[in-house]
Amino acid sequence: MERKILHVDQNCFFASVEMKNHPELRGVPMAVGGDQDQRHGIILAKNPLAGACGIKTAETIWQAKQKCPDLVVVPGHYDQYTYYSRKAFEMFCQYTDRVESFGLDECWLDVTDICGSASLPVLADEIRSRIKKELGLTCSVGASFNKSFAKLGSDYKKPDATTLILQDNFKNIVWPLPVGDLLYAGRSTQKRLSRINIHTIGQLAALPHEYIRSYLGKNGEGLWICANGLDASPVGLCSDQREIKSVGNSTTTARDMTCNEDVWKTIVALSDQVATRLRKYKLVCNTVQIHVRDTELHTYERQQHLLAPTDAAGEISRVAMDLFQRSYDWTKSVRSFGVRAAQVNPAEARRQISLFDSSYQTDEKKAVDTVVDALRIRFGKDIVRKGIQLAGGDELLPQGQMGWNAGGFASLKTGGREE
Amino acid sequence: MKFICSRDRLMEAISIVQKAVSTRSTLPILDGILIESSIADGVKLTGYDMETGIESQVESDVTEGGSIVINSRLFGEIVRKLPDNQVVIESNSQMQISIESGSSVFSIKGMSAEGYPKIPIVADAEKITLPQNILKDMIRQTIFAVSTDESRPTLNGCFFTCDGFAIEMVAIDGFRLALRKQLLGENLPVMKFIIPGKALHEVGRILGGKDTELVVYSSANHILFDTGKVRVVSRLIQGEYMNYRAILPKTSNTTLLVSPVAMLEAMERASLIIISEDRRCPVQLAMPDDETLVISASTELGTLREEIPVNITGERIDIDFNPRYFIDALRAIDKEEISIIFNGSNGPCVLKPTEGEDFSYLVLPLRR
Repeated sequence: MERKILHVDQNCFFASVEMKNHPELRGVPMAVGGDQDQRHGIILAKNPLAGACGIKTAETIWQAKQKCPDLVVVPGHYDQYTYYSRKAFEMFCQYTDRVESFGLDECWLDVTDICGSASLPVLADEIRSRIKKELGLTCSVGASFNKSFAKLGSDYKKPDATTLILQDNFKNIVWPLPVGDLLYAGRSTQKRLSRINIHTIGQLAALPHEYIRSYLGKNGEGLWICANGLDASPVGLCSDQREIKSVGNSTTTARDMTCNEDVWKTIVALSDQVATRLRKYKLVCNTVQIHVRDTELHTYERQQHLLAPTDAAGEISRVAMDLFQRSYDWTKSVRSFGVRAAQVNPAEARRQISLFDSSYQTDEKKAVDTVVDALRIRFGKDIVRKGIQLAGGDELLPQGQMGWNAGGFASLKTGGREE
Repeated sequence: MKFICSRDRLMEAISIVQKAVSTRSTLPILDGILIESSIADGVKLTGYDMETGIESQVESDVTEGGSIVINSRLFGEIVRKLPDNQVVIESNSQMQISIESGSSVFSIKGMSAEGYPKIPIVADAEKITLPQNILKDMIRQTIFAVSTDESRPTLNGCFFTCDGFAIEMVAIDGFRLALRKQLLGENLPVMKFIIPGKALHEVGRILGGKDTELVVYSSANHILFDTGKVRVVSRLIQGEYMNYRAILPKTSNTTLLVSPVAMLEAMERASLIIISEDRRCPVQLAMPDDETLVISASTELGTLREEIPVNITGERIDIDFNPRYFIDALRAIDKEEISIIFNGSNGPCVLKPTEGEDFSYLVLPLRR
């Protein structure tokens, strides 16, 4: 049976929330930006007036001000974004249990079971008007028979519009679009496709299935399936939304890291955050991953499988540092760094004892972690810090910078990440 | 170069040296096997991934000396499919290799042997001679405890020591330790080094089960295993090995005597309901009286409980383990009876045959 999928995309989400809370911002070109002093000075979202000046998301605030000297840049308020995101999510859950969020401002809904064929646009419009009335925000809705076309639909016409992409019109609407509009068709995939003269989704769809698989591999095959309207991936259950797959924190340091010691200080701070969050969620990880970006913005990731699961900062930082030292040649300085604990499982009372715990018979480390966690909950995260973070570590990681991340999309843009 | 040999002998040598041919090399020549022939020394095949090198002699009738490199996979697949047991291999100055067998003649492009890296010569070496089956057993009984965690490189190998009379091999992965000792004689050279697990794995496969002699040579950076027909050279892992003697407990509170076969079978049954990926689920040991060990496991899939007859002296305890760690050790022991000593529910536990000091195995439990 043909499915009925909606994709809801909140228009200029961060900027809209700011304008709702500060109506005086409605009449001026404004953007939500990162903190320039801490080198997060990029545009995260903008209002339509700023867009009209040619300002693009992700360009630097400096570039944006060149285009529009009157631009008002406000800092982000992630607690607010999370609040509105959750409100919208709860509203969608009233319609169906198949709701899957994609970042803070996007959601898919599978409404197959609750609406007849005629009422799909009616339902899409109802959701749009409820978002406007109950949250004071605008959104675009794409309605289609699979997830990837629904997403293309919400992008097709904005703001505050509904786009229907159905079996009888998708070739007219979707196929002329540039192939880069497809989810997961990134820069390098686009480059490889343009090399064989494929620029639109329609051109991609027309290629033989076997050919695209041999040329681009599994990911390319996935794109081809989406281009042909055959995407069968299900919309996740709303109850799955809170399942954590990994716990990670990352930071762009206040100045570039130029030596192993700088990186070690950063790793210690990040691992401490990651481990504390793991313990908060009562998880242990089986893999440690690092994410390194150098001053030329070249990025890579490395990972190591652990022999025994852990939630201890010491083990995570040790493995992260080792991964870094084995993979980095220091021809450039390091701009940003991330540590992620992956392959997580619920922590149980039982833990494999290791020969590397000097106190492996007494469990002292675990006892220390428990006390530190309790102190931080009561007196704030800075009440206990590692010695290395005090000894000159602060120039790299200023106060506030290493704060708790709310997780989700907001923290993905500023530093932390929770998938 | 020209020689005649048996297809089966050639295939045997190819599959031995292929173990050292790199699978993900950046240099095409490293995907190759070096063939060297000389009228005096016969034919020798070499595979070398810059860490482990393997050379194998092939009985042949050489009519012209020379050397060439041929792609390893292609060579192996061709020889496996040759129609006749007699093979004639010939190469010319244009690097063309002809492989002739029965009525089929392959002509394959080779690569110049000049570009092939030289396997390190283990010079000024100390040497120990020992029966192949002894080393084979020592490898089998320790290699499973070699760590795969690359962040502690010294543990990615077996620690091999000789004190003049006996050789000892130790492997540690952080949660368990396997130690195998073998008295060999007198006036042996005193030596210690760390042999990469991968090289030992290949050596273990090549060694025969008989007591034919094997010579082990070592220099500061390399080790060479020489069976006469096959030679394996490996880089040694540099660094200080963990002080494992400090880990081995000197005392014990509980001693348990048990048949390793009975315990292994029970552990294997328990692991049927423990998903191997999920390393948090333990097998639980309990001692309700001095003659009974209760082995039990409980997971989402279900439960198992069974009793095996044992003989316990000292304090009776409850303790949890990863069953994998017991299974590996119990499979390595080929004795009638073993003793297991415990040091409380969170202390290290040591398995040993009741007779002899050849093998001991330490495993750490899961903390409750």
